[in-house]
This record gives sequence, C-alpha cells and structure tokens, in this order.
Amino acid sequence: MDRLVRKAQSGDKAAFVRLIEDNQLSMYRAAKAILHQEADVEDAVQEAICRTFDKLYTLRQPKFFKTWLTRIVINCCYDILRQQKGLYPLDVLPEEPREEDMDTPLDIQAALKSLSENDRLILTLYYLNDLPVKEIAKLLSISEGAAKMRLSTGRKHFREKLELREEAGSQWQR
Amino acid sequence: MAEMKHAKKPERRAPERRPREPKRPRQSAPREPRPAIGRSRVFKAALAREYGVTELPESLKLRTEKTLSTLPDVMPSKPRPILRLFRGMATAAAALAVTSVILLGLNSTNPQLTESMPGLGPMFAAMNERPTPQPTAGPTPQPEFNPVTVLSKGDFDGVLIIDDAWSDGKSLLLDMSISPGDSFYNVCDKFGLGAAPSLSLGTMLQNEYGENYKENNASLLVDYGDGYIELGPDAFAPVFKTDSSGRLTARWQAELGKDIEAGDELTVTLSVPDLTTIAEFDSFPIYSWVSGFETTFTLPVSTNKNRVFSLQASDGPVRLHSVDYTPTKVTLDVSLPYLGMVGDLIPDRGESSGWPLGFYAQLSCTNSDGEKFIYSPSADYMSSRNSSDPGLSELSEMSYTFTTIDEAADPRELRSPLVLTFYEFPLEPEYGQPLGRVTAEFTIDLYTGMAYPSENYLENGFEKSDASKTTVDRLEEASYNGLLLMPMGNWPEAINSGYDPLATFTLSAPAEASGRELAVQCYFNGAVVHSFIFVLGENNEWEDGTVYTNYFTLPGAGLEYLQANVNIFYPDELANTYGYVLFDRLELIDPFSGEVIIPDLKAAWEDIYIKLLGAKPYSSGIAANDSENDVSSSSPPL
Repeated sequence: MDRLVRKAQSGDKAAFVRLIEDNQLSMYRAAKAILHQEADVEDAVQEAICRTFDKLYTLRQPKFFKTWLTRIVINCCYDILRQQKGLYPLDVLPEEPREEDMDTPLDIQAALKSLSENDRLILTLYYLNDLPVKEIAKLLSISEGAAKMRLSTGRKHFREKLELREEAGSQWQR
Repeated sequence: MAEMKHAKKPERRAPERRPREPKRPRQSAPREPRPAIGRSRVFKAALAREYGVTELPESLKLRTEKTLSTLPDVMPSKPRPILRLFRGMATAAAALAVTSVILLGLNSTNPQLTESMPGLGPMFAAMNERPTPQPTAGPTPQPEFNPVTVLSKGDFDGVLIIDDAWSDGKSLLLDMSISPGDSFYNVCDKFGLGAAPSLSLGTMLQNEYGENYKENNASLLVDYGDGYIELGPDAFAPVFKTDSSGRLTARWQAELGKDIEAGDELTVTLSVPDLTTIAEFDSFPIYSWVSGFETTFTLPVSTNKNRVFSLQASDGPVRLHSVDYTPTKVTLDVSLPYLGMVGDLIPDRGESSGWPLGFYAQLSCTNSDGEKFIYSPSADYMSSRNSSDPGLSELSEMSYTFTTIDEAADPRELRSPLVLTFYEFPLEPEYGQPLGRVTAEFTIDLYTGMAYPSENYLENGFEKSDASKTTVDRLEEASYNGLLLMPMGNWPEAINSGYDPLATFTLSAPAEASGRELAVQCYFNGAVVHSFIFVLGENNEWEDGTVYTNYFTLPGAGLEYLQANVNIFYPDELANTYGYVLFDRLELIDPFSGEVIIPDLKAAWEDIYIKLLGAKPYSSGIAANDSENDVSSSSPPL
C-alpha cells in the first residue's frame, strides 16, 4: 500500500483509484458506525474521497495512510451530523430498526440500543478495519489505555447483547 | 492448519553449565473456558453482520466509481523540486546557524571538548587564542562490548545479535536485535500483523480448548566466577518490537540478586530455542518458529558510575539520609513525618485509604541531553506502613528503590541531577500520575554528592502542602457549613445531569450532623422550579428521590463521618413542560431558615476538590469525568 500511496502522491491517479478501491469497505464501515442513514454514509464516503484526493500529497508517512483516511471519513461524518443536528452526542442518535427487532420485546430493544451505540465506532475500527490500538487512540483523541478499556467494554457489551437477544428470543418463543 | 506445524515441540536444549531437571509432561491446568467470542474471524463476522457492514452496498460502489471518474486526471502533488530545494537550503542554513550557536556556547563552557573536535578543533583553539589545557585525569575508559551474532539452528530465517551487554554489578542489561528474513514478514502479512510486528521468546502451544498460548522456554545462565545465577523464563522475557528504523529490537534488564564487584567478569550463556509472534491487542500467539539460538559471551562488570553517599538534607519535616545510585537502580533512605491518612481526605480510595499521606515518591533523572526520565518506586514499599502500624505516628524510616533503566536511557551515563519528589496521595496506578500536593522535594547532585530542597514541582503545576495543618483542619476549611462533596464518590455530570435522575451526589459531614434537614432547590431560567427535601442520616425512598446513608471512621483522624447518597428524580411535570434540561444550578439550603449553605453543588464539588487535593478535578487523573472518552463531542482536526 505504501508504494501506491507514494505513486498517488506523485500524481498517479490510477494508484489513487486503486487505494480507494482497496479501502472503500473500511471507509464505509467507519462511516456506518457514526451515521445511520445509508444516504448520509454515502455522502460522507464521497466527500472523504474528494478530500483525500485534494490532500493526499500532504501525508508525510505513507504507512499511516489508512489511519489518515479513517480520520478524514470520521471528520466528514461529524460535518454531516453538525449540518443535520448540531453537536448531538452519538448516544442520542436514533438507530435504524432492524428486521429481527420485530421479534424482540420493546424493553429488550431499549437495552440493546443503549448497549451498542457508544461501542460501535471503536469496535469497527479495531475489529473490522484492523487499525491498531495506538492509531485508534490517536484518531479518537483518547489514551491508549482508554482505547483498550473501551474495546474491552465494547466486546463485553456485544457479548451481552447477543446473550440478551438469545434470551429474548427464547422467551418470545415460550 | 499448516501454519500450526510448530505448535508442539517436545525437546528443548538447555544451557550446558548446569544440568536441568527433566521437563515434566505438561499438565493441562483446569481453566475457565474463554468466552466464545474473541479476536477471531468468527467474532469479526458476527460484528460485521450485527452492524450490517459485511459488504459494500452496490449503490455505494457505483457512486464511488462515479466520484472517481469525475475527479481530475492529474492529482495535486507535492511542491516542485525547485521550491523544495530552496526550502531545503533555508532549513540547512537555519540548522547551521543553530549548530554554530550551540558550538559557540559549548566552547565558552567546555573549550576542551570543542578544541578536541575533529576538523573544527584548531579553529576553536585559534579562537580561544591559547590552547586550553587538556584535563589530565580523564574519565575511566568505558568497557566496550563487541556485538555477538548468533545464527539460527532451526527453521527461523534470521539472526540474533547481542548488540550490547553491560552490568553495573547489580543488574545485567542486554540490548538485542533480530534480523529476520522474508519468511517472517510473509507470515506477518498473512496474519495481518501490520507494519510493526513483534517477536516474543518462547513457543506456541495449545490448551484443552484449542486456544493458543505462549510458553517462554528461553533462559540465561550467568557465571560470575564464584557461582551461577540462572534466570529462567519468568525473569527473561523481552519482546522484540519494530523500532523506527524497522529493526526488531529488545532491551532487557534483570537484577542479579547479588552485588558483583568491579573488575569481575560475567560469562553469560543465552538460549532462545523458539520465537513466537503475537497479536498486538490481546497478546494471543499466532505463529512460532524454531530459532535454536545459543551463545556464550563474556562482559566486564563496570561500577564506575555507581555512587553511594550519606547526607543529611531536609525539606521541612522530611529528611533524606542516603543515596545508593547505579545506572539501573537507585535506593534512597528517607524519614517521613505522619501527616494523616489518605482516607481522611479521600474516603473511598480503597486499600490506600488506610495509607499515610505524603509517602508517594517519584524520581526523575536528567541525561546529558537534558532529557528527563521519570520513575515510580517498586510497589511494595507501602506494605509495612498502613493505619495499623503502631510506629506510624512518629517519623517513619523508609527506603525507596527505583528501577531506573528504560529503552531510551544510556546505561553507561551518570544521569545527574536526580529529583526526588514526595506527593500526598498514591500515584495513579496505571500511569504513575502524581496526585495531591507536594510534601517535599530534593535535588541530588551525583557529581558532588550533595542534596538540597528544591521547587521543580511548581513548574508542573503542583503546590506545597502545609505540614502544620491536620487533615481535620483541612476538612473544616474545605467544608460548607460542615458539609462536603468529597472528591471521590461524586461525578460532576451526575450532580446536574439533564436527565433522570436529575441529580446524584454524596454529601459528607461529621456524624453528629445526622438528623439535619436540608433542601435542594433546582434553578431553571433564574427561578426555582423544583425542590427536594431530605434528612441527613436517613435511609428512605420517596416518589421524588432517595437517600441512603452510611457511616465510616476517618482512618487517621479517628472521627466518625456520614455519607448521604442523594438521588433526586426528574419530575414528570418538568419533563412534560421543558423536556429534560440541565438546570442553571442546584442550591442546598436550610429549609427552616432559608439560609443558603451551598449556592451551587457542582461548583462546590470543584472548589472542595481543589482545596483538598490541590489540583483541578479534570487534571488530576482521578476525577470521575469521562469527557475525554466522548468521541462524539470532539472532531479530530485534519
């Protein structure tokens, strides 16, 4: 990837296209962790691609491309949130209902919602986008210890969430 | 799995000098099964499914293609070379100017050094008009170590290099590096270990649950002439990490457990049968190689940077008696007065509530480049000093030992001065962050063997404690008409939450305040919109809130205190009228007289915090504020 970044920095658009294609799933996942409407996610990713195109030559170390790109995506998402809702924290944003939630009692759904929101971005960056803890900590402006703690908590919440859903499913069937 | 072919290896070669007991077959220790999810593909897949991001939506693919096709064919690129050339020349000129200033400064303070520089020396000699006499007694030549390269006898494609080995008679220090071949990086690529992989000593095995774990089978045998010191896997466990130049390096230090005299020679036998690479976050091993590194080398013991001296330096009631310095370990003997207990000022501080105030030392050393290194003492220094210690009310004789080696420090350098600082409260456990006021500080000059009280802590924003005040005096000074919102046990966001419950806080007071009636008034747009009345000392649940009280004894002062945990529910009528809002402030009053006791509970908590701990709540590391973790509230700048 470093080679592609260097080529793109020297003006090779084909290399840039390849970089974006290689990373677009990661971009999508990061954006989806913050924004919930698919249309907003697509807007954020598109804006991030344009910003990356304009600013790539400023990236000093190609090895940090993925982290840098993720930061751009996150910033684009925050811009969209600001435009839409002002500075609302993530945990008050509505979550899109899922189909399987139709089978889950309302109080359980509320519990699931409260468990999941704050963990989503950090779990996505670490587990799905394979960013190292150190880079995630820098990205989110938190300490490495805090990042690890939140990953650990997020993983725990995720497990609880699955268990809660399984439990709810079995209660519903009874 | 083909990658796991090295997971089991029954035989290991041990160092030859001492026969080892035959290795017993490994028993599977009974363990709790790990949770089913972890850092695995299964977990990732479950997470991706849960978040609905298993694959890229077709619409986004199309839109990305369209976006890319509309971008200009020529990308913005780095500035033109000619501009860079000018910029480079400007940078070089600036660097030359800075270097010149430094050299001229150095020439004024240490002309011998500048005159001895190759190339520039004669110029400085001419500038100084007369050659400065060279010092006759130079420093003792440092023993050097010739690097040792060890070839792999196994399937590991690479070499181990002992770049440096050194001992100050108390510790052994090894600087090592590994130069792996392509096969190592191929494995890293395969397992997605990123650009900076690491390597650990030991081999990968599997437990009864099919999980990988690492067993360190490396060893070191140190022959000091009169006997042997064997350092087994527990003591010898460096991790090779990728440094900024891409090399895998490790610095390892171990205490020898006995003092070896200067001039003695150590013969070290190192055996590294296996190497394992591990995942960064959860430290699970991923792949093992048989390295078969074995070597024996010698090194001299160098004690010329060790310093031992007695002194009598005082900072207020704190006295420093002796310094025992080696580059790897510093021991300081100190007398400390009794100033009260941690739990007098921070009641909910867990085990450390029963520890004395002011015993928490931090040591900083400065190297010749002016770089500071900060160390905390070994954790067991408090074990014999708690509230049950009958000798604590007098002067306590304490000995603090600091392990002072780290990856950035040159072990052959005398890092002077040392600065020894005592803080009131235990250092924050994870990061060693100091807390509270400073009770004493000493600067120790290792060149002269002198120590004197100093005030470096002021630069770091700390203030000195007043040893003449008791903890009871301090509690009274910090209280509002006898009532306190203690630093711990209160969360500023919870005091005025903007949600339900609208307020959660803990009031502390001497136990005799039990039965005192109080009221909280909630102001919104300048008017009182809700009141909650309660009685200190009660345990009750009402429709509009709850109060639970517990009693405790201040461990040092011996006074009985109460803690009333108050919860005020958000009134439905307010929620229906205004929604959930933050109040302007919450005021505590005497409901009979109307006297205002605390005009703003949240502000009072901060005020009490500063008075008791001498620091702002959000800078001390113990505030129950999680705002730095709130990703949504801050947008990282590009």
